[in-house]
Parts: sequence; structure tokens; C-alpha cells
Amino acid sequence: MTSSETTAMRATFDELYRNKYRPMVRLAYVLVDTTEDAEQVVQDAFVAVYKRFDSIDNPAGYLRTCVVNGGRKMLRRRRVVRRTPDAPADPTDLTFNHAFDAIRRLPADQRALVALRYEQQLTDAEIAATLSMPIGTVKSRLHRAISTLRKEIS
Amino acid sequence: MNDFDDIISGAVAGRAEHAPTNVPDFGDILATRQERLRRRTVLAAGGLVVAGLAGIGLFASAADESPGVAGEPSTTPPRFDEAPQTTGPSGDSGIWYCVGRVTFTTTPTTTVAGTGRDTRPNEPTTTTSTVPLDSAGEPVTPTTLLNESDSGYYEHCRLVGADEFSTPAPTTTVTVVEGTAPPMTTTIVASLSPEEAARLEAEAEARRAAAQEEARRLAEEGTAPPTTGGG
Repeated sequence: MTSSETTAMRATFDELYRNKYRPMVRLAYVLVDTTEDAEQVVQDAFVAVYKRFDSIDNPAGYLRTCVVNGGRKMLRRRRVVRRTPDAPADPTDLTFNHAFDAIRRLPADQRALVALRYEQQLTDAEIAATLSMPIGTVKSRLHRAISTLRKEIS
Repeated sequence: MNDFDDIISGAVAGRAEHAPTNVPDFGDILATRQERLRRRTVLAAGGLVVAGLAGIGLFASAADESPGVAGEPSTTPPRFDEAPQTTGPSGDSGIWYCVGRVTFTTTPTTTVAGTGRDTRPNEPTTTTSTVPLDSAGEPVTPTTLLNESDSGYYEHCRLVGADEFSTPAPTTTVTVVEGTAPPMTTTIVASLSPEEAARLEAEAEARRAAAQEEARRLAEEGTAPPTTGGG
């Protein structure tokens, strides 16, 4: 648990909202592809935290888990609706990034791991706590995701 | 971190830079969610009401297609396509024979006794009103009164005018309704001999057997049986 999380734990919901809204939107924006989806995921997560704020030990951690799960759920739903893989991003787009395009093509679980590691800068243990999975699983899946990215990018 | 990690971190950070930065008021978010929840609840409740009404409608239409109770109007065509038959005595005692929906209309002082068999499909044969008949089809005793409540669909119906048991003579009117034709009120005009009644009865029995056979055949073929007449 980071020191900022400990502070946020003791803070009121308003403080949590002020401090964490933007970072969570950044995380969600890496997890899902559109601004609207990212905002919806984060707002749903905050509503979930708001309802249980008094009974949650670690609101910041709970919030992050809600955002990651919401993002994965949205990606899964989108894949089910389309029944096709994600369309590749437009290479002529000025903001096109080959590395991130490779991240977009990762499975939702691996994409969440990459986002938590490289956007949120979490350790393996923190990722394991956020995703409720063994640390060994985190390491192996992250290794697999990075191997895939390395192959794609090189 | 190695170079590759830097590449990934840079890609992720570059992506995250484009994330929206505005922080909406949480009160608005809550209000929007509550409004969405309320709308979903209303829609769900509306769906339940519509489904319930549709179910009731289906049930009601199924009930309409099933045989009804004697005396209740029928909304479905009867099973017979031939013209209604009514025959019988006029005012006097005797055997009246009729096929179809029968409405008994009697004056308060009229006593009309008789037998009527309700032979609608899927419904046990019932005798709505009976009077013991001797071998010649004549009433033995005037035990039963037929009145409006006995009206209904009869495949065949033998009525015995009971003027011999009461005065004044009955002014019974038999109304026969078949299919979508307008109700036809037929005053009994002719007496019917026991032989003729037996012949008509045998014909009705043959029709009934044929209808049952047809229904059985359709049921075996898996086809829904035809909509049958009846009240």
C-alpha cells in the first residue's frame, strides 16, 4: 500500500474524489479506448465506492480495483458485441503510437497488467492485490505480455 | 528499467496524456445514475405490466376458444356449417328438435320441460334439464323447468312442450345462432314424430362422431384441432 493510499484511506470521500478522479481516468483511458468509456468506468467506480465508503478499509485500493474490473468488463462486452478483434488504429493518425497499438491488441487481462505496471507504476504485489490474483500469476502474465509486446514492436 | 520498459512506459504515458482532465461534480454523477436507475425501474415495471397484460390476453383468448358454459355467448364459429335446424310443435306438447345455440325464452307462466344435451367438445356431456321420457319420447312427469338460464349450445335438444301441465299454453321461442349469421329466432312450427327425432338424432350422432374422429386425427398429426363451436 502506498503512502498516498494510506492518506486517502483516512480522507473523506470528497478528498478521495478530488485526488483520484484524474489518475483513475488516465488508468481507465489506457484500459479502454474512448474518453466516454473511460469516464463512465471511473464514475461507476466512484459510485460503488461512495455506497460502501464507511465499510471499506482501503477506499483507494478498492477504487482502483473497481476501475480495472470495469475496464476489463467493458473490453469483454465490446468484444462480445463485435465478435471480431479490435480494429487496428489508423497509422496516419498523428497520435498513432506503434507501441500502444501493440498494447491495445493484448488480451484484456494482460492489458490491465501493463496499465497497472506502466501507468500506475505499481509493484507486482500491489498489482496482485488489485487484481486479486497470486503474485506468481502476476509475474508470469506480465512476462508473457512483455514478451508479446517485444515481439510485436521489434 | 531497461530500454524496452522505457518504450512501453512512454507509450502508455503518451496515451494517458490524452485522457480527459475535467472533474465533474460528483453530485451530478450521482443524480445521473439515480435518474438512469429510476428510468430502468420504470421500464422494467412497464415491461412487467405489458407482459402480464399479454399473458392475460392470451389466457382470455384461449378461454374463448375452449368450450364455454351453456348460456354464455360464443365468439367463435360453431363446428357445424349446415343451417340450423329447428322443428317441433307449436304451442302444443310434443318433441322439439333443434341443433345450434338455443335461447329459451319463456313467459313467466310457461312451463317447458325437456332434455338437452350439451355436447361441446372437451366438455362432459351434461343434461341441462331433463324430464323422464317414455319409450315414445313423451314426458312421464313434468319435473324440470327450462328457462333462460338453460340457454346454450346444443348439438341436439329435445324439448317437450309442457302446456299439458300448465296454462296458458307455452309461447316458447327458440333462438338459434349459427356462426356469424345474425341471430335467428325460430318459433317451433311443427311437431316431430319419434321416428323423425330418432333419425335426426342419429344424424347428429354421426356428425359428432365424425367431428371427434377428425379432431383425433388432427391431434395425432400434431395439428391443432379446429376451433370448435360452442358457447
